[in-house]
Formats: sequence, C-alpha cells, structure tokens
Amino acid sequence: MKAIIIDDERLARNELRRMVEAAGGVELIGEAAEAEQAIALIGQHRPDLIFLDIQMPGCDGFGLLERLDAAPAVIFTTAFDRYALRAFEVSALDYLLKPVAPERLAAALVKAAALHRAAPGAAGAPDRVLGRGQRIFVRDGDHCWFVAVEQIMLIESEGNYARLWFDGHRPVVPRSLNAIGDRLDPAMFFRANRRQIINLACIEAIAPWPNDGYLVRLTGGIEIEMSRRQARLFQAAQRF
Amino acid sequence: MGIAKRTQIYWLCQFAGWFAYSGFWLLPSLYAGLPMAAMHSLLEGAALGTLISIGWTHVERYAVRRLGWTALSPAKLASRVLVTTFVVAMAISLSALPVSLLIGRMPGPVTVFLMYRFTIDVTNVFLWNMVYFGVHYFERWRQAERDKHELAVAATEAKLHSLMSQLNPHFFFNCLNSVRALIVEDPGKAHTSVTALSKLMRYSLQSGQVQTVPLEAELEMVTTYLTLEGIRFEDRLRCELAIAAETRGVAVPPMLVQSLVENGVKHGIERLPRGGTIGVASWLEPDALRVRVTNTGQIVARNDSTSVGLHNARERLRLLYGARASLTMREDAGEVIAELTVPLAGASA
Repeated sequence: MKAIIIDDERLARNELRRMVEAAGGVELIGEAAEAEQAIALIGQHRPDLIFLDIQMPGCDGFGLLERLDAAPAVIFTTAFDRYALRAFEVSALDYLLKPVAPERLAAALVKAAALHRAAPGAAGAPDRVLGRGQRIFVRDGDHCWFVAVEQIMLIESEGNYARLWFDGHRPVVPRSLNAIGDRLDPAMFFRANRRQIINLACIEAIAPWPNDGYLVRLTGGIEIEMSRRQARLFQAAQRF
Repeated sequence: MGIAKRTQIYWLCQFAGWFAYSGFWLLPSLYAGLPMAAMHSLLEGAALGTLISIGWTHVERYAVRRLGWTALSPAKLASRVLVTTFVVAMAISLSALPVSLLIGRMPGPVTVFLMYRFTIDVTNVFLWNMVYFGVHYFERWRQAERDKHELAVAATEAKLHSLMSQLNPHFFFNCLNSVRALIVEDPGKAHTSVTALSKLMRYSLQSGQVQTVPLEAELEMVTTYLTLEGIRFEDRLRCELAIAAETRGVAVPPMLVQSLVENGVKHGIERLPRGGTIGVASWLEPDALRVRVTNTGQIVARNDSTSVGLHNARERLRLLYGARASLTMREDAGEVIAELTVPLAGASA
C-alpha cells in the first residue's frame, strides 16, 4: 500500500513516519506540509492511503479532500478537536488521536488494507473515471461522508453545484453537474436530462411519457423525466 | 426552623393572641365596675368564645395547610380567604349559640345574638387571617431574599471559575506529540520540554486557587508556553517581549495574559503557512497596568472560541474589577492587537 503523510508540523510528520515504518505493510512515498503540496503529491503518486492532519494553515484536511476528485483511503490525525470528531460520528472514517497509540495505528492500517484489497487500485485508476469502489468526500455543514460512487442514486444540478442523493442524504458538493458527469463511469450512470444524472442500478420502473420520453422511477419512489433525445440514447445504450 | 418548633410557636401565638385580644375587649367592662356575678358570667362567656375561635381557626389552618394555600399568590388567595373568613366566622357564631344557651347567657332573641356574634366573628377571623397569611408572606419573602443572595454569590463563584481559561487540550496533545518525536531526535530538548510542560500544567491547575498573581509569574508561564509552541511551530513562531521592569510586581488575574497569547497563536500563527510574530508588551500608566498582546494575522469574525474566549476574559475582568478594567481587540496593518487594562488599586471583589 502506498501512502502519504500530510501534516503541517515537521516533528509530527517525523513521529508518524517512524511509527508507520515500524508497523510495516505501508510504503511511504512522500510527505506534505500543506494542502497545495499534498494535492500535487496525490496527483503525481496516486497513493492508496493518506494520513491527513485536520488542522492545517490555509486549507484544512476536509477542504483538501473536497478538492480531490476521488478520495483515497484516509486516516485522519488530530490532537484534539471535538468539532471535527463530531463529523466522524456519521460516517465510517478512521481517525487517530495524536500522540498516536501504536495499537490504534495498527488497527487503522488493518482496516485500510482490507479496504485496499476490496477495491485495489481504485485511487490509481489511470483514466480517472469515477467508478465502482471509488469514493467521493462530501461535506455538508457538520457532516462528512465518504460516498462510494455506486451508492449515489441521483445527481442533480444546482447551478454551479451539484446535489448528491444517497442513503437518504442530499448534500451539495461544490462541483458542477457537467464536471462530475464527465468523470462518471458511463456503464453505471446515465444523463436523464439537462439537470439530472441517474444511477442505472437504482432504476425501479420505466414508463412511457409524452413526446416519446420516459418517466423513470428510482429506488425510494423518486420520478425522473427522461427527454426524447436522451430516451433514444438510453434505448440504444441499453438495447431496450 | 424545625417543624416542631414552628408548631410550638403557632400554638403559643394562637392562645396568647386570642386571649390577649379577648382580654383587650373586656377592659371597658372591667372599668365599668360591674357586679361580681355579671363579671363572672362575662369572663366565662369570653373564655368559651375564645376557645371556640381557637378551635375553628385551627381547623382553618389545618385545611389551609392541606390545600397548600400558603404557597398561592396574593391574587389567588384573596377570594379564597374572603370566603373562608365568612365560613369560619359562621362556624364560630353557630358553635357559640348552644354554648351561650347552656350557660344561660342569652341577653336577647337568638337572631339578634347570632347577628351580633357574627359581626364580631367576621372581624376577628379576618384579622386572624391577616396575621396568619401575613406571617407566611413575610417568611416567604425573607426566604426568597436569602435564596437570591445565595444564588448571586454562587453564580459569581461559578462564573469566575468557568471563565478561568484552562490550558487548551489541542495545545496539550500536540505538545505531547512533539515531545515524543523529540525523544528520538533530540533527547536533551525532550528533557527540557517535559519540565516546561509540567511547569505550565501546574500553573494552570493552581490558577483556580488564587485571584491574582504578579505579572512576572504570569509572564514566566507565557514564555514557557511560547517555548513549547516554538518546538511545534519551529521557525514559524517568532516572539518579541517588551516588559517594563516596574510592571513585574503588578497583580493580574492568572491565565488572562496567557489566554490572550494562546489565542494569538491559535488564530494567528497556526493559520499562517509561513507563521508570524507574537508580541507581548507591558507598561505602567498613572493608575493602571497595560498589557498588549499582538499577533500576525487578521481578526476572523467567527462565532467560535475566539469570541467566547474574549467574552469570558471580559466577564472575568468585570467581575473582578467592575468598570475599571478593560480588554480591547483591534486589527492594524496585518496585526491583531489585544490590549488589557488592569487597575493598580486591586480587585474590588
């Protein structure tokens, strides 16, 4: 597993590096002291795992993740921050409290390794297509999620932003529908109309709709209108 | 006051009050020089009437206590007391009738007797109620005053305690993490860091027990704190101290300057990738000490710990010195400047 350490304090990076090296099983391929440097390193090396400090000057750990297209596996590190820790309560993220206890680090690495085995090379996909096994970091106020791409049922345009529907949550991400749509795996998602992209696996029923369109019902009863043009494309793609 | 004691006092007042009251009304007859037999009968009648009144008012007290009327507001009580007055007076009058018949003291027709008695009894019972509920109201008022005072004292103490800023856990754990790294990299520095951290911890823990410390002691802790933060931030943290010698002995609340410096590091230095400078300066003015803490950065208008910390520090100063102390914060040329004024005359609390 290739990993990167991101922390603004040199001593903290050194300490974590020594511990990770001692734990074994991880190849440390770089270190970054702030967000810009980290984003460049991640783009260059496509690590499987990052150790990420939450409090950093400039752009914090969450801000950094929001700027990544697909999130690698993340182990957060923080000294003490009850606000940040509250964010973890809602999602299965892993975090380590500094000074890090060796056994907690070992447990976090086991978890990360399991995730890595389940979706090998996910973060390193060369064509940068967002597909199965990849995760997007989403933050909405106090809540944070790592959403697996296949979990997303529907993506709706909200001006320059997009709203993701998954598991009963509907947070907005600071990216346009087009920017996300271009990256999604076409075998998994389909653009129903100008404002909505749907997950094909979430389609429950399809009914004819005026003007040669379709009315698509998704899991949970949400109904989406598919325009005539898109309905034709849909037919062709699905041989429907 | 115990319940037994209260009951004792009640009975004493009940008997002494009623008999004194009746005796008072008998005085004119006494002066009139009535014959012995008439006097005897008069006293007998008055004594029996008084006992009946004691009995029925006691029944009223029992009912009032059962119904919890002593806790009612005056508005709710007024109508109840009025009705009760009539009922109790009626009961006394009606009870007095057979007694008077029995001892053969019936000066006129029964209706006249009843109307005469009832007029007197209503007045008596009304007065009794005034005294009874008056005492209760007075006691409630006194208790409320006492509670209010105790509450105010407790609130001030609790407030002072909670406003006392403690060492921030974020700093504490980061510091421990740095020290752990130093154990491998620079054992000598790790050694001095542990000493420094324990000094700071001890000072922070003890600060709750004293109201003021000499500025010198506070500044020693500030220096210790900055040394420790220096280990974390390395060349990102620069310090400038300008302490006037004559300010060293001035009494200041503990952990106040420290909290301003901590704030400066947390919201200034920690947010800046290239770091910045923390400045601490002190000087004397005719009747006040001034301490200025500066940090590189901007005031970030946020609804978080900065404003809470600042508010707490101001509250603490207000509780200790009233309007004579102040704490201001402003931004000037890329610097955040916190200025503290503490009166030289000392705390008012």
